Amino acid sequence: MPYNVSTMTWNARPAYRYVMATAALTMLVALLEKLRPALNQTTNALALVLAVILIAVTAGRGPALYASILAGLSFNYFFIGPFYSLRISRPEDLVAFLVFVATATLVGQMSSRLEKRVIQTEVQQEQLERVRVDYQRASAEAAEAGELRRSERLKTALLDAIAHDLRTPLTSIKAAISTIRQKPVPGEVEQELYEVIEQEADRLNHFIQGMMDLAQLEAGQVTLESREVSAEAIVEDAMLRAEPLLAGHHVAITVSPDLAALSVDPRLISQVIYSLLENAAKYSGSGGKIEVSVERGAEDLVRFSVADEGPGIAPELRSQVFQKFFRAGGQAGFGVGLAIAHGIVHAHRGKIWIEDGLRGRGTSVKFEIPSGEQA
Amino acid sequence: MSEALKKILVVDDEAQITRVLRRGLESAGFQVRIASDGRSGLESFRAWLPDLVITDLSMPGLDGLGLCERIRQLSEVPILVLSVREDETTKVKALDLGADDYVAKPFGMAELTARIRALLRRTSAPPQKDDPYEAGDFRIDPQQRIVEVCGRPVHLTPKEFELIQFFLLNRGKVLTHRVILSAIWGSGSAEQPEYLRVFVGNLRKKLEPNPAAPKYIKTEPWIGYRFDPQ
Repeated sequence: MPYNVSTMTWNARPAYRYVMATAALTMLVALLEKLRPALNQTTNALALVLAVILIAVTAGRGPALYASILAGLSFNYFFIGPFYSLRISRPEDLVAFLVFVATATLVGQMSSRLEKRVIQTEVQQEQLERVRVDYQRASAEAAEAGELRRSERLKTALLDAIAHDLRTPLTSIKAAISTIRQKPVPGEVEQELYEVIEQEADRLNHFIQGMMDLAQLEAGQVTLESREVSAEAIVEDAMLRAEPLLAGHHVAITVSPDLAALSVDPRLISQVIYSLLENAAKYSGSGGKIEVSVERGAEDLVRFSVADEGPGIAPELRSQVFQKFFRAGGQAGFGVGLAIAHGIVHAHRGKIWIEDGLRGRGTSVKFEIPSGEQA
Repeated sequence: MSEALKKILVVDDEAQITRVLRRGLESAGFQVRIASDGRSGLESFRAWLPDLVITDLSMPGLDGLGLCERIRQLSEVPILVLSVREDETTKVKALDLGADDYVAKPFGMAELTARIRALLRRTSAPPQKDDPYEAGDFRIDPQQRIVEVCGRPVHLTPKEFELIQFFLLNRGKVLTHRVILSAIWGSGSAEQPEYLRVFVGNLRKKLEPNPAAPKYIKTEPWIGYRFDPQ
């Protein structure tokens, strides 16, 4: 592990440490030898032990042991009589020599071990510090994510309030205009303008609903109420709701007979199909053919598809239409319908994409979701 | 007009909505009274005894659900609930608490008055359980267990007969899956809407001129069915 410890440890090859230890001791011995007339034997011994300690803490155990032996020999050679000889004539000098060697070795080894501990502690501290920084970063990120969720929830709550405040007057407008339109309206102009008021009230309501659905999906507030349901029931419900929009279109429905019951949120999946039918009806023009199909996909997936014969969507724009308020060129926008569909499919751990439509023209929106058999 | 004297109590805390409803319903030939919250709605109900109650769900104090429950303890009067579209759970709750139907806000007046008329028709001629009676395109003889649609006899299994009889007794009313399943198969089967769907599909094949676009047994998505004998 690459430690980056800021101590005086020589981050060098072992041989170099021995050379340095030798050099340091040589210089010290030379100095002490020069000053010998002024110093006594004890001072020399202490100076050499100090050198061994320094070598131990900077160069480690091996060099420390080596320095202890070298210092012992130097002590004997230079500072125990007879000088410049390894011979020891007096018994007290022998004791002094042995004590010196033992002390130097012991102190050297202990110092080196202590230094090692210090380094280990520092490394541990550094690792702890790294963990602490990582933890702080992670908790900051978690806080940020929580903050984001909170702000999404706040947005939803705000939208909820706005939706209520918009919907209440809209209800009065719709009820009022539809009351007026129940009776024969005098002029053609009035008739048309009243119709515009009612249609626009409906459109505004549709828009508010879409915004609410999208905000709830984005805030993760949509809980899937999954239950066992057949694919037919889901398609049937979407068809029922889309019926007024599909007048004048030919809709063909194919549900593969080998499909087992699905475990999904039927209301939401049906809403996806409704949105796709709505777009197909809008873009394929009157008399256009629309095909709805449900079949088994790979593994436990089930694949839904709604295809039309409309003008189609250019391949390079196909992934963008699932963004909210996406508009292609001067075309009318897709509003939030496909963004909601995308959100619902993803909430079911599925995917949604676009291919060419019927007979190579138009649009075919397909989505795959787990049938939920394993769930 | 047969409903000319029918009395409708409207309970909603939004003044503009009640204002429009008063005008709209009066011009459709009903007598209208307004209450701005559940408590005063209940008082008006006791004092005036309307033929039908329209109530909003979210109101200060006693809300729409509470009002449904309190009125049901007193009377079988039809209750129509005004709700927002996405709130299926509350709708089902209101229906289970005794509401007969719901209309999503914002609503068109034609739709609202059609629902009101359907509910009033049911209560104006409550059928006796065992006597033969007619309702719209249907004629039923409970003792002989015969059902005719537009004069054409239809052969039904005993369970199908029970269901059609239940539908006829509750015509115009939204019946939740739970209510239908418990009424016909007992409370133990209340959690099997998929079973009911298949059963209703078969019944439609026998009764409806076009089973793919049913006109008698109408689906209320994820809630239940509404029977309209026309």
